[in-house]
Amino acid sequence: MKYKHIFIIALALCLGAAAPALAHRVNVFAYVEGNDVHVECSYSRSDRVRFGEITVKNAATGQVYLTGKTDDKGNFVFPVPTAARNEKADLDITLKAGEGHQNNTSVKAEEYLSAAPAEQSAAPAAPVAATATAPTPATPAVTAAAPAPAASAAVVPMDKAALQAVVEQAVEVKIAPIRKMLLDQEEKGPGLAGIAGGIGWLVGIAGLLAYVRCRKGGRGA
Amino acid sequence: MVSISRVLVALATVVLTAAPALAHFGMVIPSQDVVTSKEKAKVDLVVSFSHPMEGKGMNMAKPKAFGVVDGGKKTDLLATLKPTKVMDHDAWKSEYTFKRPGVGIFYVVPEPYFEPAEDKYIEHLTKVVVPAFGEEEGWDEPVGLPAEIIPLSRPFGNYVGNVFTGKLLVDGKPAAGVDVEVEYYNKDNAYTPPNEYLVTQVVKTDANGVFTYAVPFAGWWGFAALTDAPQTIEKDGVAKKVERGAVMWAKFVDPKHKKK
Ligand SMILES: [Cu+2]
Repeated sequence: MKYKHIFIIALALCLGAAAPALAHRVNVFAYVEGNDVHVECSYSRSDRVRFGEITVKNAATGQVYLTGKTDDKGNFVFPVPTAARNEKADLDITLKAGEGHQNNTSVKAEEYLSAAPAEQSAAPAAPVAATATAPTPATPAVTAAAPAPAASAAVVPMDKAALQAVVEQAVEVKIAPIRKMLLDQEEKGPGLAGIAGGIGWLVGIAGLLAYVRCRKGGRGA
Repeated sequence: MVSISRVLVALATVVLTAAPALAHFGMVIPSQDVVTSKEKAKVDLVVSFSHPMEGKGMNMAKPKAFGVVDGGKKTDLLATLKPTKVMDHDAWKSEYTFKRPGVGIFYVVPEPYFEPAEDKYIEHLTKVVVPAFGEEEGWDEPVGLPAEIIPLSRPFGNYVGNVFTGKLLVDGKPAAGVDVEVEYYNKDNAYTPPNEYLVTQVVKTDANGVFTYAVPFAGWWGFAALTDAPQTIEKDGVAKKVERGAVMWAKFVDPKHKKK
């Protein structure tokens, strides 16, 4: 029984101890400036990794180029190793900041080759191929569903009575809820844009109906 | 026998009543919600004034201010704005490349927009927060806008179903009892709201100016806390009210599933 308690306490301690380590995600970020690689190590902007162990390796072969420690601001700077430059090797940079606090980052060969001072000409930095997903425009700006039946009716050959039935039905379907909305609207009073838009619609619809009538008339219906 | 006038009245009514259902939102939507790799450190930002759930755009004049605050440092990005189209209407775009770990709080101050249907000006002060390279300190820093949502939930790295909590500051002080409109950026009209009440949802700020919303599905969600600005703007000799919105956008995601 006694052991059971010890076990539970131990477990609790483990869990208690494990959590902060996980939450304490350590960041390592590296960038190239001239011939140097700058490594920044932090838990957050204001909480830096002091004296963390850095290992710089050939990302492909695992060959260690150099090791070092961050300063008290979490920074570590090293010149691009000549061996790496010759091999055009990607660099793997690992940070060890104490038990369980480890992370790594990479510096691609093209990063330091393109940033190199004298010997390397031009070749602008390439890592800007972000996926551009600008919101695509969607749907036209028309809400009103009612004009649709009338519009399609204008194309389909139909006798006058049938056409009227279709239009009337479509209108009836719409008009019931609208009556109520119309009342509400009257209380508030329609806005200028609404009125202007409405007039535009009226003119358009009148034209459409005139066209339909004209067609029917022309066929002697 | 259908009379033309009846048809016209009905159609006109449809047109007249369609407008009030829409809620306007200032929008600033980044191409990525977080930046995790140097290869994809460039973020495209699209700025618009739209109806996000219904996919209806409005023309937006060039903003008065656009920039980013990172680690207390403000960078003016107004000059980087280029015209673009959002939902077939005039909008603005820019791009920003993160060179270092940081937390970019992008903000937009628009020109006040006169909305004839409501007989007032609308001005949505809009923000989105993009963290880069593991850094996350500073996501709750205020930009210092006259009306601003300060997130109490970290506004990135959230799963669907998480609660979003924010505090509304108006002139730097918590604002109680304010309506916060919530709308989904319904890109490509992927969803259809079952009825008009589900286009825009509403929560209110409590006595401390705090509001809460539980996010039901994945994507970008906008929170617009609406107050009236203390000043009016004169239009044709008449003083018009100014609706001042503090808007914040945040993305909520589904977890990835293990490939079978
Ligand atoms: Cu609108």
